Amino acid sequence: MIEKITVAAPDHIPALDRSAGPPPLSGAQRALYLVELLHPGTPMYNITVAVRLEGPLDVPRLRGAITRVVARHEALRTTFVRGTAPPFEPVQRIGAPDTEAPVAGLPVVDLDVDGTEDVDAAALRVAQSWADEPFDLERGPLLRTRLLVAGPEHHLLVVTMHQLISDGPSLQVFFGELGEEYAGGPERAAPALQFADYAAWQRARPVDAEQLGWWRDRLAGVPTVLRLPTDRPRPAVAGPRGGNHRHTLRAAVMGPALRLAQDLRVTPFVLVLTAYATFLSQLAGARDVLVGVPVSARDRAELESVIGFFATTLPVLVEAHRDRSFADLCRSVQSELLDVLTYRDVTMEQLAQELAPDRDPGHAPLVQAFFSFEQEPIVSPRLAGLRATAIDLPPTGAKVDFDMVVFRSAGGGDDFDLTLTYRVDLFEADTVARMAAHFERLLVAAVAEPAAPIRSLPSPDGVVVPRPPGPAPAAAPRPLLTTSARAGLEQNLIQIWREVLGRDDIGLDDNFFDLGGTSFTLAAVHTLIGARTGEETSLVSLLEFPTIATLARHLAGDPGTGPAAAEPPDRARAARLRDRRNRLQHLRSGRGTAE
Amino acid sequence: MSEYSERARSSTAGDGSDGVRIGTAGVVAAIWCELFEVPRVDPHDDFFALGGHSMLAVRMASRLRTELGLRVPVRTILENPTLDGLSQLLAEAVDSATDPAGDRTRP
Repeated sequence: MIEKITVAAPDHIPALDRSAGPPPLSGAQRALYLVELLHPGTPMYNITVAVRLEGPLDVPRLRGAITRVVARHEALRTTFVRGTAPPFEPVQRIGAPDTEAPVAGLPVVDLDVDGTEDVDAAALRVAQSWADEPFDLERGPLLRTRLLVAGPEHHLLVVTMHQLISDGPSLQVFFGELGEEYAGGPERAAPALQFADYAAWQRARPVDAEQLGWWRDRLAGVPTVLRLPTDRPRPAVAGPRGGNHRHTLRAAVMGPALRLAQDLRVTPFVLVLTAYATFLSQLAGARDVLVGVPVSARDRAELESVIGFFATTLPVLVEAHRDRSFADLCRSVQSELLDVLTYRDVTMEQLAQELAPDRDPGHAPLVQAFFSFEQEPIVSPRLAGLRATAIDLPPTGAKVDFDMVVFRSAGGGDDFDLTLTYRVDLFEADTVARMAAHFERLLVAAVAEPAAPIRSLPSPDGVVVPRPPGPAPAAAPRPLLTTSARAGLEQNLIQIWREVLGRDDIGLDDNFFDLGGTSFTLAAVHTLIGARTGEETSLVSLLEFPTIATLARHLAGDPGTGPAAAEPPDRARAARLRDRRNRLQHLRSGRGTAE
Repeated sequence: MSEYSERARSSTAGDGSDGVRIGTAGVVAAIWCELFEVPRVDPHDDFFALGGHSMLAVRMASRLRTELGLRVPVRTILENPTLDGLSQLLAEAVDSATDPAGDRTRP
């Protein structure tokens, strides 16, 4: 069985025959692409690093270095194309190195500072605005490099990649090769495998029934909604806007924590994750907490120098019984994480399909809190003759309610930078600042007395002070359609479903997903509705109204179908509505990792 | 043939099962050097003390599959955290795999 050492032949990833058509998306890319279709135009999945460069910078040489790195890595030249025929699967389009000049472009922008603002602060403000510019997945390029001139020998190189083509280790590969190229190092060959080879190999592998079985057993009965106390009432549909709170965990805090991890034979990741889960458990008043952690598929030597999105997020279950000691909980989290890594050949998309009552693969993903931790700074760029300092610039977009990212500070030593990214439609900045301070108090106390039960840890009282609910935003009423106009609309919708699903037997009350529809076919429906009926609706509302009858009523402006409809008296219907709301709130997760 | 196997071969002294044993230890030591980015390792070196983390153990398991033809659970790596302890366990697994009469798996 899986817990024994067994003899196994190495399994190699074959090179994909590129003449056989455009490569598919990997499972994790597919799930993330769907989230992008549901919430287009947000910077949620942008990954940005700004590098402060002090010293004489040779701009043409830097531009040449970027061009050569882009030429080596297909992922940096990849865009994503929607499927145009059933089953409407999206594909990857890989641009040729010589036709992708805009990718390697390095526009140079002079920093405009009025006399009162600090130069560094002004530069970071501009860099953040670049970090927040969304990408066009179809047109690309999905790598953006820009240079901000802050002074004669003071530049900020801002590199943004879309998560679909990148992850934490990709940044290290990118900046590592950039440094070599800038220094005029020897020519380096492209990696033997590219991301598309991995994606095609991964998609062709059968789903491992034993692995899915383990997840089904492990998560049976575990609550998949974490009810954190919020400043504002939860809207029916999760907003994508996020805020970032930064906090430094000083060496005085992290040094003892790292030493305790070693004594307990757990990794520092596990120790800080345990403190985070305990913190969430306290806030939500829940014993069992699911936290999404990044898991990399980059386990093979041949994938280590490949740029691409190899990350997936998987849930770790933390059972924070209040009588357990922190040390004991750390050990059990370590064991749990090892199980997750053993059964890691699944995607959050598959787990959601398996464990959520809903069959739509875009519906996500079980967890509302993410965590990642790195013992190294995000990148450590080296550019010859320059002093280079990397700054992580997360976008102001929130994938889930709460996302904690901890990296070792660039300055070295045991200082760590903590960023808490939160949904601004749920939390106020000052609440999150109090939460971060409380997290640090909890970590310090737990590390000081690891044998004490976790119920004796500092209480979160007063961290979240619920505010009185403001008036609910009123949705603009749609003009009501006449009965005959609605019948016409229904016929139009039926015709669209027939074309997209390739079948004629479509009833007014049939569920789209029962008829074989998928999220990607639904995206095709969405496009056709806009083109043929002129009705403006969101893809999310198509998920909400999966029958012709309910969708036509919704489009016809029947107020009874709006998501903001008053809670009906009927309890079963109320439960269904709650379930639907929860699903909608989770639609937006299913990402990869902030790493 | 990769670098670790080269190193492993050169560290294989003598012949017979001792060779297999030393060869296995050499392969494991070479993998540790590469993953922990250190020039040399000592038999008593410890996974956690060297800064090991779970994803590193996953990469180690992948290397062991390529180099030794063994599928090693990530848990086994963390539960046998010294280089010496892990090497011995793996050498036994290699022994029983190469012995046609032996059990091809071990707990």
